[in-house]
Amino acid sequence: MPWWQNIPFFSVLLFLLSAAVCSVLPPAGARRWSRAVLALCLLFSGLLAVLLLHSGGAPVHYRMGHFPAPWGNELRFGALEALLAALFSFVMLCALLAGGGELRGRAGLSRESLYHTLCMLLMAALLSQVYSNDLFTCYVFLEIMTLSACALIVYRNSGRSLAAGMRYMVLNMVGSGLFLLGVVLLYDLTGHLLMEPLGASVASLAVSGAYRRSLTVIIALITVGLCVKSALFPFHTWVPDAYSAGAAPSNAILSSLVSKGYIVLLLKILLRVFGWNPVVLSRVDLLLLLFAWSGMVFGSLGAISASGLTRMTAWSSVAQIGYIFLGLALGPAEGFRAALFHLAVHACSKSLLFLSGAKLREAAGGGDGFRALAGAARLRPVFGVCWTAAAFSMVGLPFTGGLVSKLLLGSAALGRSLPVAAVSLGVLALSTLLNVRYFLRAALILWSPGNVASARSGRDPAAALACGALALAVVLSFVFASPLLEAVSAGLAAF
Amino acid sequence: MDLQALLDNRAEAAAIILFGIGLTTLLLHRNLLKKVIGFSFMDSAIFLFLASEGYISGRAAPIQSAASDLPASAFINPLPAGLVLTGIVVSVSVTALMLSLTVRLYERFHTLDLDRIVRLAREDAAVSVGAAAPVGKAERKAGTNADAGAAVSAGKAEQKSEKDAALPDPERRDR
Repeated sequence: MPWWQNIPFFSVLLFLLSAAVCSVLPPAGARRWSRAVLALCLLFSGLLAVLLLHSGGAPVHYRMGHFPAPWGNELRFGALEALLAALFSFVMLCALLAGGGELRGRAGLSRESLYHTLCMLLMAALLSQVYSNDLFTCYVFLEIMTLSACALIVYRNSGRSLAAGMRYMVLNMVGSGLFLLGVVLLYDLTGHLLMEPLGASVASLAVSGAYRRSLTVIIALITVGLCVKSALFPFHTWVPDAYSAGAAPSNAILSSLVSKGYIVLLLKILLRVFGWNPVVLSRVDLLLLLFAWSGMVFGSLGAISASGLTRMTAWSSVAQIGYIFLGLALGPAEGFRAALFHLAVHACSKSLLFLSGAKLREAAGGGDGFRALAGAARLRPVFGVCWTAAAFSMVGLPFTGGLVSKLLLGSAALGRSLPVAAVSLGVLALSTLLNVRYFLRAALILWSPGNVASARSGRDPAAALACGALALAVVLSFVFASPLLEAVSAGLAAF
Repeated sequence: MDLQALLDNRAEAAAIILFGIGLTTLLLHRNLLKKVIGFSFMDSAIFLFLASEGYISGRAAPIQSAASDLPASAFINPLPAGLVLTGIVVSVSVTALMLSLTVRLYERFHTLDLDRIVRLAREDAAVSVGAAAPVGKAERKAGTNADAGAAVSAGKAEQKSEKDAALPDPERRDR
């Protein structure tokens, strides 16, 4: 076995160890340690992706422990998993770099180490979900991710963030319960937990027509459970409160990593375990379409009526999750490719919106209302430009990745039956118009010659660097769209 | 629906009913403690389901000893028990986190009603938009007192001021 096939296992192990290490280090040490580990993981995951792409794209099975495939536990990775790991490490690194100032300023110093502990734990859980090929292992790490995400929400320890954390836990536990029940029923039906034997069993069940009702229930339980966890539209109620009460890095991590982790897991299960035909037979794809359409419209409407910048960004997150699920619901190849591309673009641009928005708010005196923020971008032009780039990507303007993902979603919709295609395109157009309405309004307010009195001076080169890197990623995903898409397609083929 | 089938699978049927009870309690009950109980119910129901699936009547516990050379078909399936054990660990940690959140929320809002807590928290945020600044100031003041040397009394003052600052406005009026 070549040495690089050990990278996924050791990156998960490294993050788990780092979580323990960070909890005993002083804040400055924990900060440096977590950044170093994330940079290392970014580097090696990128390397792994390149090596896997060049080695022909066949997925690698990495056995954990002594037992072979149908019984043991294993990791399975192709280029796509490695790319996702690199993306997640990159976003997490940027969030910690840009949000470091806020962590130091707000809470007591001793708790900053614990924040890094949580982030490391979250990364370990996220990467395990990306790499693991075992459904129950995925469930366990799913819960670890939920717990650390909840702790990130309540980090500020204000009454609001505690209440938001509790609401987050309640809905997430509903999602976990449904997901776990689905997994247990599936195990009951097939006797497997590894995804490929599971997939083979489900395929033979689907062909023979046995247990059709049970299979439908299982597909619905697992899909809806993960929809609830990733805060898709009707299950989004905790989102605005949690984001407006949380610290900026927590928001960036929650919106760009945690919800994306659940979506990646769902995609993996849809592709590897269920296969697309049983999903279509059970009509769960229509359910996903309904959720996605309503999320795209109502999320945008919520953003229009939001009273502050963070709340608006949070509502826009609800809409954007709808976009990703639209891609998932449109089916394999084109739809999944669009969903994955949008997932990556949205991970970069949404975390950029939260991080640079927090910097603008800080410059304008701390208020979140639009009136208080008038002219904030003129005080901190670097962050203003970054925020605007991310907003353009959300709208889908040229020279940002958002345009590419919207085009991909549109072309994926055209491949479906006429009513689905018509409604999807209509909702896409409507949602884009609504996006224009609220993002351009916010951008105009931020750049207006406002009378910001309490212009605090303060340089934060690390934050500027992180936001700049994210903005660059948003633009580069447009410039290098075709090689990126080729890599995503190659990865999807081996997913 | 065949009644005999229901009777044969009574453990599974009971598990699904319990799951439903737990899920609705978790989702619909306003009281935080009852929500936690509902969550516990829900997870235990899944474990009951798993355990009853793994058990095969008439077979031995899956412990292989060197002396016996029984075939694998003589034992029950050991994997569900392992899954239940793992699931219990996850469930306990989730319960612990939810209970600790409940304690903190109760200390701050003096109620267990989640709807009321959410309302109070929103009012609190609306009343004190710049709440972060006064909290910081109070903490800093207490900190400088402690530096000055009067360790014991300053420590108390620090505790008190933190508590005051942490309480939202409505509660301060109540006191």
